[in-house]
Amino acid sequence: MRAVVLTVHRLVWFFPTVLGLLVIVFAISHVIPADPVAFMAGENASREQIEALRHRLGYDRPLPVQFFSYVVGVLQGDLGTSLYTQRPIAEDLISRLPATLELTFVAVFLSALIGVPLGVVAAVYRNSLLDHLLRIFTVSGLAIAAFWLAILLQLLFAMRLGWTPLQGRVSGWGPDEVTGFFLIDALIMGDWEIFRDVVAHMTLPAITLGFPAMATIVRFTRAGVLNAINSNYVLYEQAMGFPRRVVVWKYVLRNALIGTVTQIGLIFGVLIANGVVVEAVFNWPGLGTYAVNSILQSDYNAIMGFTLTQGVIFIIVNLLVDISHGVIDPREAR
Amino acid sequence: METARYLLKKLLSDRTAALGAFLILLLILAAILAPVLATHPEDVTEFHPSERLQGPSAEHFFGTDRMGSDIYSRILYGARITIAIALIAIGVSVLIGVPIGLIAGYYRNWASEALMRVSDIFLSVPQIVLAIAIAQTLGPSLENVILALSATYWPFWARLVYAETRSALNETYVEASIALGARPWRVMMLHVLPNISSSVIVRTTIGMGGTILTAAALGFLGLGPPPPTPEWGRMIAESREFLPEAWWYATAPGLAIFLVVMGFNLLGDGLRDILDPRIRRSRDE
Amino acid sequence: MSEARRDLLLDVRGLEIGFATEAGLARVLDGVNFRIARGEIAGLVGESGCGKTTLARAILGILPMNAARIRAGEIIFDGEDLLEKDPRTLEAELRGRRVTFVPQDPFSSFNPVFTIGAQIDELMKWKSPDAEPGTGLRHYGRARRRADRARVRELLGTVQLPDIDGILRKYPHEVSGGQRQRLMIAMALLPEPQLIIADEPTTALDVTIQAQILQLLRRLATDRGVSVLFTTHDLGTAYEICDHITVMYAGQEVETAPSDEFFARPRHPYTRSLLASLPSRDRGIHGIPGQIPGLVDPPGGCRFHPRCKNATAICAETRPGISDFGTGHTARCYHPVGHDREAAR
Repeated sequence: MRAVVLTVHRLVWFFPTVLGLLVIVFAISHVIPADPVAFMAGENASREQIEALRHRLGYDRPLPVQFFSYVVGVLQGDLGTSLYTQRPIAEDLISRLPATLELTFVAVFLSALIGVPLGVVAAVYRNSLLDHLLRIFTVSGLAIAAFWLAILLQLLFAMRLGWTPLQGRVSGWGPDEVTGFFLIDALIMGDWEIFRDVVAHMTLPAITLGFPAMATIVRFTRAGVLNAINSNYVLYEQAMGFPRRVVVWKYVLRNALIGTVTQIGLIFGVLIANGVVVEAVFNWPGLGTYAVNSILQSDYNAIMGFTLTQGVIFIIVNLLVDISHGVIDPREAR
Repeated sequence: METARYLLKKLLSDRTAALGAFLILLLILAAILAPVLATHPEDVTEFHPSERLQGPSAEHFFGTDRMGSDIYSRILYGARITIAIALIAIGVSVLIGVPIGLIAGYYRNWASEALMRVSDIFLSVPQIVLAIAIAQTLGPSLENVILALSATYWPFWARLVYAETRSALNETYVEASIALGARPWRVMMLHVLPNISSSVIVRTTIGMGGTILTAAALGFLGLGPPPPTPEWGRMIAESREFLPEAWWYATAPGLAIFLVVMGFNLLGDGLRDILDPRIRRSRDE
Repeated sequence: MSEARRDLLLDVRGLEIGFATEAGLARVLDGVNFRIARGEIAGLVGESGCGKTTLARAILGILPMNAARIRAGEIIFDGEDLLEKDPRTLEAELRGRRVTFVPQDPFSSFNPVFTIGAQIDELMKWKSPDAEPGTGLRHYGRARRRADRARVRELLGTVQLPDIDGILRKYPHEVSGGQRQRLMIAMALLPEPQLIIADEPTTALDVTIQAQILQLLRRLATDRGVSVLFTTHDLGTAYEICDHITVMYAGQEVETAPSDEFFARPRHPYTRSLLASLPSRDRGIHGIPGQIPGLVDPPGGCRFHPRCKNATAICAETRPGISDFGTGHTARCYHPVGHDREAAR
């Protein structure tokens, strides 16, 4: 019952948080610049064009009114029009969302798949050679600039060795679009050529994106496992002769994972942050490249739309993590 | 002074932390002694198009860039930019965030609740996302990068210090001191602040690494100080079109970033092990 | 005369254990002798740091092997020296099977994210009397499962737990402290062991519950002929439940006797001081002057000598041999208290 109350509580806080985000984005776009309209009109606009734009977009109205209509617009899905593509920004973003989501999921999945067992082993064989190597790995993983890693990997594997494609998501046409996730769509189509092509293109970006994520996962899993190993219940299980592998991989891991899961929010933040530059380097057709192109084009509203979108996604992810933590940890329901 | 010497000794006995301190020392030396250590100090502002894109050699340790400038020298001068950005950004956000957190944690009224909610909203978005928006709005420059970073970092400190202040206030000896009539200012300065200072110091050190990475990313995206300023992130961005031939162009600045951030991370970890023994962390978390 | 007559289940001889610490090697157990007869409830009494927990863990074989050094001695359990056995064998055949464990803190000894029923199931899976010892147990057959479930129910009823189904479904934090310890006792009995090692099992419980748990443990153990190694720092508790009591001080065992004899005629100065320090209305409160020594560089000979009124030169040189006072009562002291005295309760 209490879990339900907590969930409702968190859901309720979702809305003010998003509203707060809207305030911040609005402040950045409308309040900070000396003349937001001149900004949006671009460098070559004339004085009259700017004034006409100002009136058309309603920037001559008082700020609170502007904010209100801004919020209303957002709620209706209107994030403005891109100067560059001339399409509604919301449309642009939605069309690019699957690419980013797919890459992010694959990166998280791979890093967890490899990272969790590594973290367990590092903790169980504490201070062994493997543990020290992993420590070096985790520390480096969090010190490497994602865009630099991306460029290095690209340089080595794509340019010099030719093992993977240089950039992009597919060569030629991708699979017929069902879900927008190419891996799934290619499987649905049953086309192995396309599937392999998609995988090849995804390899370097996923590794780059997953690298710091894996470092974090290894770190936290290791800590969680060490914590559990030193606990009284493990002592009890040992004293009662539970087989060691059962103790570690069933009982310790479950406790450690609960701690790691709460870090997914953190990891996701890292993935979003790094996603921008990683997508840029590999020309991955997702939100990140959109942001970078918009920066280059000074497509102002597009950048604000991107900021808002990424912000909301992150808030939702954290909300889900919070809720699921309340579910999987029985102590939460106290 | 006693404690400082003791801490230093303990720190140096931890090899990885010592390595971190060493790397940071290199950074500081590079920044301060750039004019002395650089082989081509004039290359920070001058161009030599005839010498462009040469590989590493005895004359140019890390080769030359697209303008023919010596990359080694530019990296040394870039150290100044890096330190400036990180130090000021963190300094400002700490100076803003810590007092806010302290006061909000002490006086638990509607104002502090509101402040914390605002902080939460800032923290609900990855730092770089907001920083991009702010930097784009203000235009690419050194000051604006610092501004964007500070504006998005202070809530972290406010939140952290708020939580730690609250838990420090729950300590019995603090309760006792308040019961004896100690004034708020005194309680905060004498009891709370020393308690949370070790946490702040540790996170500041680790935060330097993260801030440098974010600043470099902004530079990479073109939102940092414009050319010819030798900002490391921008240098990497410039190198892209000349790959794979001019491999040194991308490698050297990236390596600099890596070593510097690693230094701060290692040092921060080491500091945490020393300063926070109460928090029962496993030795290398 | 005395010791030889007891039918020994456990015979610890000359156990010497050191722990590697930053300050050097801590001599945690200094050639300890300790015996438990079959069907006997043996108390191991001493203050914190005296080594009783280390001894208990050494018997179980769960000392941290990277820090602990077993330097000498034997642990003869049912005729076999445990120190000679392969650790894997100990895990599969000894622990949780012939020797079980009741921990001090029943709350943190349960895994917090699994239900109680799930944890008991796991125990039965590996350690049920019907289970084959050894690794590689893959198939937990239905017939055996049913038999085990019945066993669990029966035993949980015996420890007087209400609403067995409800408890099995609950998580550890949803159950009271007394109930948790009853569960622990039940779990210790389920594998039908020969010896239960109970490490300060009532220390973490409310005083009102302590007596109940003690009585329960005693009754069940004696009914089933199970020996119990009962460690405690509280003599009163030992008095309640133990047949035989051994006192330890700073890694040395100093006196051992059947319970009545122990309280009637304590011989070792430390034992007497312990008994005298029990609060009593007529005598007030007495402590023992001095401090427990560090174990890295402990006092030579009898480690109690710095705090002992009767100490002489020889007490600091060599450890006293075993003096036999008859009826299973021995003490290690050069100057044991000779005459009989009414010991305080």
